[in-house]
Amino acid sequence: MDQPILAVNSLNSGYGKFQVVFDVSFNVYRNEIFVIVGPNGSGKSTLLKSIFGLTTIYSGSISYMGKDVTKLPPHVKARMGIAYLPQTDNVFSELTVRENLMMATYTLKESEARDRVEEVLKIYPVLRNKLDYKAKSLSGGERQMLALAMTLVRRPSIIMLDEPTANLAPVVARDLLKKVSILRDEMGITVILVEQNARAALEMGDRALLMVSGRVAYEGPARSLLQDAELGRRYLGLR
Amino acid sequence: MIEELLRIFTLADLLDVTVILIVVLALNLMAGYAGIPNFGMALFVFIGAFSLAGIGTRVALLLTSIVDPGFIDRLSRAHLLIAKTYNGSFKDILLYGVAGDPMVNRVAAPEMEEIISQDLILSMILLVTVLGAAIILGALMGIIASFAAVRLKEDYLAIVLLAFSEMMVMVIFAQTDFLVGGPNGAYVVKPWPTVLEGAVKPITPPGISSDLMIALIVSLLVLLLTFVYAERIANSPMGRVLRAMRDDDLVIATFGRDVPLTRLKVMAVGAMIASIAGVLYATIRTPVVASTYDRFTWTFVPWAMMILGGMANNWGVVLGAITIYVGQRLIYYYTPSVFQAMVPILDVISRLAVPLILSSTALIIILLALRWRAKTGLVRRLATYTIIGLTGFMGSTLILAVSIHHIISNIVYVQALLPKIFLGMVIILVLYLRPQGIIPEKPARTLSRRELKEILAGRSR
Amino acid sequence: MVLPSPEFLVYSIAYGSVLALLCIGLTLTYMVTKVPNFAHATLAITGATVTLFLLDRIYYSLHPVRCHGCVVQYATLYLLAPILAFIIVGLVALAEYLLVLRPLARRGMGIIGLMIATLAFDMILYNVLSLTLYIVPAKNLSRLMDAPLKGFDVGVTLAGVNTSFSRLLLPLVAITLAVALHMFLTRTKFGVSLRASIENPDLARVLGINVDLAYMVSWFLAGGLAGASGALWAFMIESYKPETAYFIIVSIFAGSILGGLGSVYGALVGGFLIGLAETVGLVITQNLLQLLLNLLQQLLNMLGLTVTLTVTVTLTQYQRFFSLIIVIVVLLVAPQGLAGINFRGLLARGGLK
Repeated sequence: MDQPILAVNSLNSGYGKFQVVFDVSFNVYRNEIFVIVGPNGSGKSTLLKSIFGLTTIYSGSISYMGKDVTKLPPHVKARMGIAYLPQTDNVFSELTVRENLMMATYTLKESEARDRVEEVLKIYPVLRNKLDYKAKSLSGGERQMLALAMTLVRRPSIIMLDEPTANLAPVVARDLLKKVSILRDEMGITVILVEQNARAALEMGDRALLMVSGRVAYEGPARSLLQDAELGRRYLGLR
Repeated sequence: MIEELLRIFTLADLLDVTVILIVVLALNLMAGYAGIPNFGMALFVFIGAFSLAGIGTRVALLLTSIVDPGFIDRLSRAHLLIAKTYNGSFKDILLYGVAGDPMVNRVAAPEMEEIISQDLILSMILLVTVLGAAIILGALMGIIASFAAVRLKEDYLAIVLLAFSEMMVMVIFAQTDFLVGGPNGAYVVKPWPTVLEGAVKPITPPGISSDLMIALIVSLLVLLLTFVYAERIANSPMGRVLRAMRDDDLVIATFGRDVPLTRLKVMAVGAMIASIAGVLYATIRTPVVASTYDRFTWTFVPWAMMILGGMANNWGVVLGAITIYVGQRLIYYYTPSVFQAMVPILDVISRLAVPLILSSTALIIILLALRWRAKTGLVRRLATYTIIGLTGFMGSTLILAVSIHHIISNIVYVQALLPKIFLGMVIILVLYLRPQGIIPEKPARTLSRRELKEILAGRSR
Repeated sequence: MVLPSPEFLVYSIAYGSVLALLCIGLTLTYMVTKVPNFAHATLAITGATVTLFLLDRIYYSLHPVRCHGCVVQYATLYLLAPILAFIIVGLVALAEYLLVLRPLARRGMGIIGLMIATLAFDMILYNVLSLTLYIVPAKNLSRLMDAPLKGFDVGVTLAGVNTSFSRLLLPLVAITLAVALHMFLTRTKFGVSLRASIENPDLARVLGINVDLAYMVSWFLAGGLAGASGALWAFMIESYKPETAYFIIVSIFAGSILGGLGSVYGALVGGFLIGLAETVGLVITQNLLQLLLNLLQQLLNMLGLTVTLTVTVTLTQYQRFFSLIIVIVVLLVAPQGLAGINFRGLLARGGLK
């Protein structure tokens, strides 16, 4: 197998003195959908935040495309092509959709920005009709789409989604997850997906990580985790 | 040295310090312990002054005309102006007790005082009414403020209290003639009986009025009581509740404490104390003019003293108040001679202005370049500070050099303004360097392990 | 007569414009720093001081005061004063942010500490202003300070209404500046980034927006608006002394709270409304009270009672009290201000949708 795009090595991290993630290691390879599942409070979201540099890292290392990025601040990581989509507060609700996209392309040149916005609007045509609506007037699903679109216009090579379907209606959630595979298939973006809805996520994922109490309980192909009756029943509520 | 200090600081200063100390301790109860951003302190102090000048004079007129029914007639005959104002009826007394006409008030007040101070009972009645009014009105204002405190966020509350105080003192009292004489103010009738004056006579230094002496002694007593009370509150269960409430009122509410009621009590008591301080201050600073009670002197300065000393620490607050008062007086006193001494140097500088400007501009450009190219944050920061410092220093020196003779001829104004500017700067620096104040808040005194053991042992016995 | 004269109406519209600009500035800084800037009134006074100094410079060329040939001098005064004041006061406000508030906020100072810091800055600025008037060797400053500056304003008669140039200019300036600000905030990338930085600084930083710069620009703009409006407001103050202008802080807070302290447009409307309420509203109230009193008098006379109610109602000195009452009512009824009122919802409930 080739070099991993993201490699996490025995990572210990948390908030201040409160450790949440214990000795976690895994690799993510180019062009795959890597699903992280686990019960509530198992440290999935914290793991993503740690990778992006929003928590305190006590030990361990994170390397991206072979370079050590453990200590870099978030905005530098963002510039290097790592995108992180937080669960909440991921759009400017007082700004219109157009202005939100404008902000997402803030560091780009005018013409380039316009092209890229066009590109993502093709993926999320719903947003095109709502360009002059304030983000706070959008539905939950549309808002998540906007957040995704804002991440995508910056053409990341890896995107970390933190429970994008939380608080969404099941139909909307299924739709949104379908779009996630488009990211990989059409745009060639590697996806790390943290998801509550374990079955749907594992069905579309390539490989998966099961986290329990801040530790890795399983790492391997998503299908086998789905079929592992023991782990599925105990931690994921699968039958 | 001591002689000079004695020339700067007189007994009147001691009274000022005492009064402001009472005010600061009261503010510390409200803001330091209870966490209410009371930006309307001036109002509470003024309520006391109003009780003396607005209510006290009316009561005095009433008392005088009871013991001496011919008083108003006599006054009218002696002073034509008064005849127009007073008709001698009860209604007129209520309405014109202090009179919009400063002439009337100025003449009437000392004569009333003479009659009342002769009689121990009358002056006691006056004293009790004035203090009662100060306490009731002050507490009322405090309760109104605490109602606002329950409903509003800190910043909104601060805005409303500041606006409320400005409006009451500056608009209602300063511009409405019949309340306390409007812009002309009102002369007060001091509620001290002659007996008291005789009592303080032996300890009064020569050249000091006995009124000042009495006010000073009473203020020191009030200060002592206030301090003891504030310390008791601080170390009592209520003090702990207040502080916990300041930090997080939900927790205290879940422990079953009535947060609004506790706050209301503290506000009422604090306002009451400040109001009494206002009465004492007004006995000496007559006529009482509402515009004396501005938000600089009676809101900002007490806040500054409290922050410098250390919020929620009574000893610290006392230290802060004394430091700031003394500092301001010293700056005020020494400003003229300092400027006078600078004249020769500044004259030289003003002659060398052009080369100085050029060389410092060059230096600043070099520093800017250094800052631009600097690799480490320390160098950059040092360069930034040096640039700011140098620009400020050179700029102010040059302005000084150009205008020094103009300053000397206007030194009276400069002298009055400089201490305030320094105070503002000091407070910003304190907030930056030592926000907890000189003496920070101490954890409430609790029983030591040994004491606890002893108590437990005693109980089990 | 219940309604005030047209002259007075022009005056109140000009005053409303001043307040609108001041409230926009205060609200902008509140949104950025989350602290009410108690020095905002003094920023406006700084703007008025700029006019005073300019007047001092061109006093002699403006003599006699109402000279018709002095177009150049007047143009200089009316144009230069607001522009200069915009820049100078903008820099003063920026200094307040950079030297006082930002360092303190970065050290984790709580809101009470920050408010005290703005009060301290207010005291410094206010006293430095007073000091400048005494120490700067200007020729006619002392004479100017005693005379009402409105004596220097150019009188204009428009459609039979006697008014002055600054009073006609102020609404225009206010509209221009408000529209310019609106365009800046919605049409330019930087303006949008400013709104984004105010709403969610963390997300803005992740997107590569320079949040610090955006905040600095907000403070500069807030100061600039205060300065420009203050420069023209100088002609409306009775006599130039810093303390005469001191109390406008209450009106500024009233307008901003009415506007909700969370929206620039709310502040614009709130400030203007407070300006009208303090002038036209006050006069109408006063006249109505007088009318009521007169009616009562007639009623008493008809009943054969010989009580005379010869009271003339004058409320003019209580204008700020009026706005304080408005603040208290707003805080009790609609704590979010105008911006928080759901107008669509109200219309819908009223069946007007």
